[in-house]
Amino acid sequence: MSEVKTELTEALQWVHEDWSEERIRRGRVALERASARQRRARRAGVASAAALAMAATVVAFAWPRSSGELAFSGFSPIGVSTTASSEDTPGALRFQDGSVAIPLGTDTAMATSRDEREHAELELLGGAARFDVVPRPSRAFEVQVGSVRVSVLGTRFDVRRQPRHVLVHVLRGRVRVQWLGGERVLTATQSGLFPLELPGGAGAEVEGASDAGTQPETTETTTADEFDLDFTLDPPDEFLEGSREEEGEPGADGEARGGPRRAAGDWRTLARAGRYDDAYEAARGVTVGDSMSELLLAADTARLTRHLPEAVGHLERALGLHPSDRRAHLAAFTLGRVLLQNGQPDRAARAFARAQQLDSTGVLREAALAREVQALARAGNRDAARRRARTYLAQYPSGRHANSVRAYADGP
Amino acid sequence: MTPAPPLLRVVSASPEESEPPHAQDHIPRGDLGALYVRYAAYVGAIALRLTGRPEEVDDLVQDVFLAAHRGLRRRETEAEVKGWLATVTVRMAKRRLQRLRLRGFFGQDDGARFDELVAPGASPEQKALVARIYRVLEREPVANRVAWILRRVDGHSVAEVAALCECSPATAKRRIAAASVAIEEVMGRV
Repeated sequence: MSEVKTELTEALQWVHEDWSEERIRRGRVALERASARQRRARRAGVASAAALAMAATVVAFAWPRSSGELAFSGFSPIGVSTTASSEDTPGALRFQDGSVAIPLGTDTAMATSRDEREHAELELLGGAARFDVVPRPSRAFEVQVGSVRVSVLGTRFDVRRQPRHVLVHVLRGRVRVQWLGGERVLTATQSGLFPLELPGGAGAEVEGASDAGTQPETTETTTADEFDLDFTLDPPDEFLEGSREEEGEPGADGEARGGPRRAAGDWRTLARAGRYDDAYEAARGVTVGDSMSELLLAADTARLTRHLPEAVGHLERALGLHPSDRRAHLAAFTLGRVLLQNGQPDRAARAFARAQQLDSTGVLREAALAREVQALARAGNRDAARRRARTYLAQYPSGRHANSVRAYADGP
Repeated sequence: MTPAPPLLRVVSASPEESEPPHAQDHIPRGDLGALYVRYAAYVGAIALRLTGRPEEVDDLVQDVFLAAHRGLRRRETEAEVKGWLATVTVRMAKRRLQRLRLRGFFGQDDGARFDELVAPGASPEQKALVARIYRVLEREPVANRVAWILRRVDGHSVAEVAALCECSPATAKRRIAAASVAIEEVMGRV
């Protein structure tokens, strides 16, 4: 008897399945899609009920009555979301006010969860999309990507959902991005990479958020907009808190370290607050530390105050000292941009090539390759530009820079 | 007076998993996607054992999270979250089994292939034994089947089975016993 029971117990223990990451990822996308559908249906139901009640009230008061007869006329629900696909762009979602969300790939999955006078909301469940939002202060426009929320302040911007992060790139205007670790406002030409989850608790695992130049580059060609992708050089404070201790950077125990370090802390504070001119002045005569965070911040301060050779120095030092740092590819990418701005396209091309090598996550690879093509062309190296352009088109046939790159690939 | 049902015990998602993996972590109650990532395997394991149909599991897990989401906001600890998810899973699995039975009655269900139910690594004898047990359970009333699986496969106490099945302990005991009789006929006394 007990032997049978043991056999049975042992056999039943085999009733289980593997839940691979891929299965969970697919399930999550399906769940979020279903959840968005459910919310839409619920809102439509509420709106229909409200419309029904309103219509009933109107009819009850306004309809001419005859000898105790209460008549109902036909009515249509009002206030129901009428988001529909745009006619000109397949898969695009158009909002009542003319704002539009355009999918940037075949893997894009998005759903409108609210389209009202005061509030429009869309969920990006997978892939990437471009949002062209009609500015209207009285209406909030929000994009939810997992735990990351992008609030729009009248703008044009791209959002890409990656397995662990959300990439936001602002083309025009401003957006506010809120993630589990904090929030940040991005303005035109700025980009940020925000984590979908914080595995170690609040504020523990921010991969980075960007603060690129606040003004569009004036030295770019007419296709600059296509290439204008910039990345994290100013991680949020909570990230810096962690890295300070790791790297022995001044500021982790600033009270004990004394005068010159306090001065260095001042320029860092100013730089993080976006006051780069003040930060640059405060940093005069202060030795910049060797940590990656400090070098990147110093590079930002220098390049955004148009001290490009100094920025190049900081970035090259950062790459030399920290080639394995997880932000090394960002440093190389920015070095390429600065060199390009500084009229050194041949060196810029090498920096962009290095950014591709260092980018283990693949987040920047496409942009860096596109920039490399641009830099090679500007350096007069047409053969190399054509070769790299063809590589780009082979790897990213419908990439976001494909149209710009194609001009270089099609040359003689 | 009926005593209050006991707190549910946390059951591991698989035999290998002995500790709750995120016991001390923040529970992302407001984020359905993050909740899914964290608990899908746990819910999936219960769903598989109750239904015996791997092809139904993904849909059922999705339904569970959609239905359980609001209730999860009121659950504070890992044990409470898992307890609530288990309760909803049992509820949804029962409904689904009843629906499948109805479809089978009208000839619209091909029936389950319990031979594919066990994980790779089980012996052919174990595979056959599991299939036999589930075939017997397939003929039993859904409530009896679910109670028996929760007791004998998941290892819950009678009180826990009662809480999960939302019935009294006496009813839970009666259902377990009824399913056991059917299985004994095939297996001998277990």
